[in-house]
Amino acid sequence: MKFLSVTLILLLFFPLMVEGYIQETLLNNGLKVITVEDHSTPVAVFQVWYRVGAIDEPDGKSGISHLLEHLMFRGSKNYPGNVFSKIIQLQGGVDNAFTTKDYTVYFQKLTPAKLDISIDLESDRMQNLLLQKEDFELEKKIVLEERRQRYEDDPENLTFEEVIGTAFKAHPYRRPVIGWTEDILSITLEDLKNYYKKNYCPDNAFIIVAGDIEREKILQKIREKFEKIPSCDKLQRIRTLYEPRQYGERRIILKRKTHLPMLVMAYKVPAYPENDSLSLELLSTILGEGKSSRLYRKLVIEKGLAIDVGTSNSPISRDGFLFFIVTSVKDANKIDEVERIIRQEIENIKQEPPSNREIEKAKNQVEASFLFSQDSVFGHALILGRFEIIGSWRMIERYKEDILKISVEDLQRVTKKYFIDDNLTVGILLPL
Amino acid sequence: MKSRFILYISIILILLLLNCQKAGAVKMEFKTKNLKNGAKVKYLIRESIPIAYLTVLIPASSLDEKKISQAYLTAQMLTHGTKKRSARQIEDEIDFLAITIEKKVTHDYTMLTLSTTKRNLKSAIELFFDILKNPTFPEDEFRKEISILQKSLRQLEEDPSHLATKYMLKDLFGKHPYGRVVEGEPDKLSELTREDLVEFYQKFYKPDSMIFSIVGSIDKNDLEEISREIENWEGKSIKRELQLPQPSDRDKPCEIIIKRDDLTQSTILIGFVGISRKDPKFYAFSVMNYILGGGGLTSRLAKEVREERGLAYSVYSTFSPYLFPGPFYVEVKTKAENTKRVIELILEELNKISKHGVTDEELEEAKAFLIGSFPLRFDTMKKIAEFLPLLDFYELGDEYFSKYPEYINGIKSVDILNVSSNVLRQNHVTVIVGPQLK
Repeated sequence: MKFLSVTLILLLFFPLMVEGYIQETLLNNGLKVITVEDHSTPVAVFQVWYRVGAIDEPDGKSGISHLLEHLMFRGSKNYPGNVFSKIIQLQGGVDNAFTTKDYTVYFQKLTPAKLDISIDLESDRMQNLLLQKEDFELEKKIVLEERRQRYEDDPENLTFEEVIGTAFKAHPYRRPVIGWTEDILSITLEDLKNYYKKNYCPDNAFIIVAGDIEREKILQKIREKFEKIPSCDKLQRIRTLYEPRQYGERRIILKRKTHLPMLVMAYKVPAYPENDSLSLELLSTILGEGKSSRLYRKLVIEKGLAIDVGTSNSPISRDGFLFFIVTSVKDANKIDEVERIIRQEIENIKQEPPSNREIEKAKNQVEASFLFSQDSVFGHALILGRFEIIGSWRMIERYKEDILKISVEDLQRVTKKYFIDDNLTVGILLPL
Repeated sequence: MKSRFILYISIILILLLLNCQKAGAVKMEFKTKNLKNGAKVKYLIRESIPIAYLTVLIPASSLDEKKISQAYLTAQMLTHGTKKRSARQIEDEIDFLAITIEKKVTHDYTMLTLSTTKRNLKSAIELFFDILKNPTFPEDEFRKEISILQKSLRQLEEDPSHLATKYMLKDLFGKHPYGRVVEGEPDKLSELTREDLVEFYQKFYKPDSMIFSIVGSIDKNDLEEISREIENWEGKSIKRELQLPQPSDRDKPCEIIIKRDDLTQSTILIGFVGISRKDPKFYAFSVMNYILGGGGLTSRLAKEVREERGLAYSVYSTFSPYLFPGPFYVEVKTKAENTKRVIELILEELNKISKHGVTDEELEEAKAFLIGSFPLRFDTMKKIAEFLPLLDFYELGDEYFSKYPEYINGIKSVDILNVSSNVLRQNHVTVIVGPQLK
């Protein structure tokens, strides 16, 4: 009964993100525009999402999505040269972009009166990117420096790259977003031009405009600039993704200069809208999010074997990815013991489902995280975009409803189903 | 563990010390309440989302320490036990209510921020004031925290940026608290006792000097309850005895090289003593920094090093305007073989800006950005909650939000030339962490 009453309370709070102030419009060329009217701060966010990320890259060309993202700042027909950021900053705005395994996003944050500038710039670089030889060579060098900084010289990130590359043999998620060095070197300007032409078109993208905006006015301007951009030639968005069956666990070891060894256990798990992904999301909270979580209590507080432990799951992905359990271990000699304890904690849930209080805690955290994300117009837009990438931003409401229905028995069932050696890759980072 | 670390230093880190002689205005309709016990509460009601933030600034930091890490660990240990709650009970409650209590210790102050949903506001407030007013600093928890911090700090020292910063601060500020990171030093932790934290808490955690802020979905009753919680807490803080950092008296620039053969890049820091937040020249310095290396990809440094030559992914300048002048530095990471070339390019830019200042066009562009983007700095309730106490702490005044454009607009190129030549004429320190070059 207690559980039911809490569920009702949650339901009362959840419909906050009512559809009224979020609306979508589909332009004739297939470009979707999502507007979010939020007048609480005098700020606007303009985001252009392209449905292209590492998952879409051809073999041997890992990193091409990310390299293209860099080149998007090197000028287009009506704005030649290295001027994009300068124009935005002159208007008191900030801009940037990021590439993930599933998508690429370009964004500006600025005062609402300046949104026209975003629209001009983004519409021009959606269709008229210059892609010049000299810029291409420079950005390649910059990306190689980025790779050195973020991976070659960062043993923890390198361990994650290795674990992901080992967990997936065939699935494109095996490729790092930044790309492997040799792949980056092999990308030609011609490759990039083809990739841009194929993927950067209105029906493979959508726009989110959020903040202190006047919907109709902004839509009119967007139509003016974007609607004439031709649709994609032949869009092949869906391709078969598969990963051959795994027999037994996979294990990799990295030896790099580090003080603390790190243990990464990664289980292959499904993505939303598969319902199991929601149970796994709640399980992540119970196992490894916060200082009251089971693994933190055991490894950091009770046993003093780790200085930190955490779990993460990415249900809002275009395909099933990995459930990570990451531990910073105090002593290299204790890694086996730490792994044994983690396995035992997983076993405990297989034997006995978590308590109602634990699942209630996990649901409270889901509720709060949705609310806190709305404190930032930018953060709110990001959540909508991530759902849009997997289908529709409207799925958020269903996601929240579905997650409330998860029971402790569901948590136990998914633990038995996914937390098995045939889904597991273990990565260990050891000091030299 | 300790011996292994020493081994690292002797084998892998070969330290060579060379030549070192030692848009507009923001409308922010917040209000301020002065409470009977001396505490201040600044608040802004916003009903748009059912969440709220409660922040408190405590004027206590590494500047007040008798022993290293005292300020940092006192703040960390607040959630490790109170007169009526154990550490585990506090953790359970925080997670169950889905609230967070963040602790930030800077070189000048300590700040705690509670984030809560409106639904759990009452329980969250009760817990927040319990940890603030009644911490017990249990010995066993203290031991655990020390052990975790020691390990974390040693791990941090593997990070080239952290390592370079550590050496730069030490060189610029010597034994002054600005000369070390606020978390402290792993080797000094064993000198600290639980009693040191109790003493620090009793001296500095007094309501009369605290500045609170509340932003979010709260009503009159919530505000009264919070005011009551603060007001029924008595105590007088002692005056802070702050020491001014002593500038280095070296007569030429110095270079510190930390050899790390496991790295492919050199992390390079070029550091100076910068400017105080209370210095009227702060605004001219902000404009100068934006043009030099603070302005993302459009800055002079990014243009020269990254955009035109592809020598780095990350290159920027930044400064820490504390109560006293804090560090001002340039950081860049580049493939080891480019180290010398990149340092030369940066020194050339530093030289240029200190001798010739900036162009009128650059000045206008910088002003347009700094004024236009000012509202973006307060685009979440959390950012506002964490900024309001600083208005009083750094004596910026309640009218700061509306005055900021004036402050920036008033800057002339000669102001920039003055402030940059003044700071950049010092003999700088260069710290390089990277593989040895042949």
